[in-house]
Amino acid sequence: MQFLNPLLLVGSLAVIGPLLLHLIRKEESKKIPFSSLMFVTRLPKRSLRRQTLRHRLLLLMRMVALILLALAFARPFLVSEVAAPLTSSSDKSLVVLVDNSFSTRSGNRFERAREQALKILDSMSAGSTVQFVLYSDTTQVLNNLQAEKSSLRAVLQHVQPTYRKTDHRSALKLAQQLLSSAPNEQREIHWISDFQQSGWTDILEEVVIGDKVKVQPHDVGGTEGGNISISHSQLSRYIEGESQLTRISVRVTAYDTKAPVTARAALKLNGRILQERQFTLPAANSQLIEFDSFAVPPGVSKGDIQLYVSDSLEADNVYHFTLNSQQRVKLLLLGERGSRDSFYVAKALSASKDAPFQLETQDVNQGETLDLSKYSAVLLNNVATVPAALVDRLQEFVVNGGGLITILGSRVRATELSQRLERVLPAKLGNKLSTSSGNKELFIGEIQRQHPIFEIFQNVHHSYFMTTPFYGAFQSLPNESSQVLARLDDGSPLLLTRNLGKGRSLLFTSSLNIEWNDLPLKSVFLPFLHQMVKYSTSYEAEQYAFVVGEVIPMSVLNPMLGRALNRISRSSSYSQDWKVLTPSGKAAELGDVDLVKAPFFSLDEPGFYQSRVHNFDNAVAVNIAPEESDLRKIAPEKVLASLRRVSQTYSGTSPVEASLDQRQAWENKQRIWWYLLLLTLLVLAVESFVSNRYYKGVSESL
Amino acid sequence: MASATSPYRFLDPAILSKIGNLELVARTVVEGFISGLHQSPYFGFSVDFAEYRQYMPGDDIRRIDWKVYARSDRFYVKEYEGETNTNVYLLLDISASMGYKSGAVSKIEYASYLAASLAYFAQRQKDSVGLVTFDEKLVEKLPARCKLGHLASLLHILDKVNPSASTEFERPLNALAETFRRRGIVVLISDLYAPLEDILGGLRQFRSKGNDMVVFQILDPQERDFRFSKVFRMEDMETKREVVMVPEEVRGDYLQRMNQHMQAIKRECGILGIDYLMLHTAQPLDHALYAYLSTRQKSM
Repeated sequence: MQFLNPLLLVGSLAVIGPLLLHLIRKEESKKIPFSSLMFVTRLPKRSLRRQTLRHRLLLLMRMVALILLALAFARPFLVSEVAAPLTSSSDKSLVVLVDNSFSTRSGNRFERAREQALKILDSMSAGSTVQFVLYSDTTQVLNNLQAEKSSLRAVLQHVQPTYRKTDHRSALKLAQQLLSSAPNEQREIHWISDFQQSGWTDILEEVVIGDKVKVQPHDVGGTEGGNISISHSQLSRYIEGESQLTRISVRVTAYDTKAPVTARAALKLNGRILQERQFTLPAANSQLIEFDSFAVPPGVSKGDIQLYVSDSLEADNVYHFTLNSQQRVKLLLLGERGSRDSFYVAKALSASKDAPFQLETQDVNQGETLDLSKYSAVLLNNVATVPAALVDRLQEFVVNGGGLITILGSRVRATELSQRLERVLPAKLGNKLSTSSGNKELFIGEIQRQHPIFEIFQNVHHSYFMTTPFYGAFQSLPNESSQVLARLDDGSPLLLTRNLGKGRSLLFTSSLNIEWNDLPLKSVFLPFLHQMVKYSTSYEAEQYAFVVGEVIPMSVLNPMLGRALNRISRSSSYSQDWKVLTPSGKAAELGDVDLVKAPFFSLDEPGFYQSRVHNFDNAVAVNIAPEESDLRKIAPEKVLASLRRVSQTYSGTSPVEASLDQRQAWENKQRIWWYLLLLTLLVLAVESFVSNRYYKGVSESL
Repeated sequence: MASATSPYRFLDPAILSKIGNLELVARTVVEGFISGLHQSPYFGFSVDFAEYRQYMPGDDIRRIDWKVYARSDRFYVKEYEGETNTNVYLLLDISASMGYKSGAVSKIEYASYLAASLAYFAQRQKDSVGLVTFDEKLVEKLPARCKLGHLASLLHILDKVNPSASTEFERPLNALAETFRRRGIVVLISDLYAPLEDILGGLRQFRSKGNDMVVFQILDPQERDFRFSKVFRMEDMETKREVVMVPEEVRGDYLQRMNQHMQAIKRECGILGIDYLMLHTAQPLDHALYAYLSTRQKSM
């Protein structure tokens, strides 16, 4: 026998109560005067003994009642009976997957899904168990393994569709996982969905389902007609003259429409319509709609592209975005006067007018007169050395959060430069590696692909970097606090980095002109240089919009919130509740203690999440995932055919290994506690009868 | 307990116990008893005319003197009084066992009411009435008198009785019997918790001297029925002996022995020509008065 709540067996210690009472009452038998004992002088001893026995019987009944009560509350279930009734032919273990992704908002798809789930619940036999799982791109198990239909019905009545995209694969995997420990041998997955094609991708890992698990699809997809949505957006910002300008274009796609649609699109900024476009969208096709450049006012602006069309899903007819009138990153490029060493570097950093950088080039010898604090990063490109007056200022600049990128070359006097910048550079410079004397050229041998600088190159073929020949570089001895991000194939470091105070210092041991290598001629040069600069300045690109379901750092939700949290985590004494207003107007309360532990926020609705921290208002735009707007279906049979079936033998889970849910299900099935409770009542009734007989008339006689 | 509408409501011991004055108790009992005798066979036991009294509602119309009515045009009834003076001796057992009670009235209280009522009744009949209280010895002895104020003395003695000692019959009653010079009615009020021979030894002496005797055995309902149900230690009120009691085991045996004792007394009283009546303390007092009247009638 096993118990669901074994701790409650401690309650059986309550038997001590009646035991003590019996002992106490035994000692305090009363003395009663009686007129004469002339007729009661002979007392048969056996009667006393019998009386004692009767009292013991009463005591026993009371103790048994208490023990039965404790047993009942401990919810026992029999191990030997677990297998038999649970494997009866009519009892099943079900997992019901209910799709509540955004697409089920189309028509009354979700209502039909709910009705289907209720139907399945009603058709269950008494011994069957069921678990309901809501799924979109995330899953939510609604209940423990139980068969209480009334409570499940109430739960199902309150579930609502989400704005998230669909992921059938994760839901099926979870269903299999839940069923793997189900108590009944007959196992079924009921899959209620509109079977949106975008929710299933064949190239991902296959889903493994037990060979005896029956998967029953229930299609609630409708014929509401086509859906039109904004499937893509392109937003670029640039500076023209003194003003910041923004240009936006969107691609509008008609999914499954039967006829061309003429509609109107409007560009709104802070609620005001700036521009409108009329367009005709061919059936089941897409079209690019471009808007003219527009100026962005200071502060945070909220923008929308609104499509005025009539279709089954409204929330995807609008694209939300935010614009922040932030300054571009200012860079100072220091080189030798009159040299053309910085040609490629300068061109790369100011290649287009919408580049995030604003570059200023100066002679290194004039650098000592410059105010470094207005720059985000300083690039030393192929300078022989730095003036002594600049050394301390560079160090101070980096410590205070600036970025320093030192690029070597043929002009560099390594020993002198190394000595002067000893406290700033990530490595001590050695001799020059030269291959010009007939030695074979060097190539990049190793790069740290996971590092933020190389992160964007993960999908780029390694040959873009690796085939670049290097004819010259300096040997270097990295500091203890340095990290080597790239090495040449002879093992010597090519790119090193070091954190210093709040800033970062990077060292590229070769040149960035075509004197020592061909890297400036490669297509990866520009993004590589941009990544180096961004990394050195801790640059974070402005993100105009997010997708429902994304989890963002609190610092993105509101930069001031990120800083406030930093302060809280350092002092651990700052207490404040932050409020974030969701697009539907609800206030999300955020306790600072929880935020310090997990400073992230989940975006669940399309629209603008607004927050105010220390009088700084910020807004984050959130849109429906574009693929969720495509309501085209995939045949469930095709999905079922792609499932990998594996042999899964049911051996009846032992109670020791069983999960709490299973134990609950077993216990729920046997309901021994109910019989124990009845037995307790019976014992108490008998006890009352016996004790009444004992004590009847005592009060009136004494 | 008699209900409020019972004709014997004034004879209910539980109600009487709430009347503090013993004389008032006695008068209440006797007057109530007499008013209930209208339809009784004891009507007109005395033939001596005493006085006329105005007719009151409830009086039997047969007692209306029609001659007086013819003369005066008013209803009068005749009142009679006893013909002879009889000595009535009330022997009251005041041993400790008489102090027992399980209800509102103890045995000694009941016995006192009974003695007072009998005394009042006797005096009303112009009988001389005396009182003797005893336990293992004679405690109080009030000779039989008929004079005014005697009843007050008797009631005073009854008022201050305090049961404390054990019971003995033969020795004190024999001593008492020696002092009786005139025959009369001897009324013994006791619970008779003594060996049969001891009791009979006391009674025989009176009977042999030609006295009419009535024995009232006063018992508490609990003594008669023994309805205890819980184990307890029982203490004898006279001997102070204790026994652990298992009532339901002992009850049968107790009742059997108790009944044997009572039957033996009844039988022996019958043999000796003594009227015997067992009363329990919840019983109205009229039963006792009937028994007394019956005995007195025999002595006429």
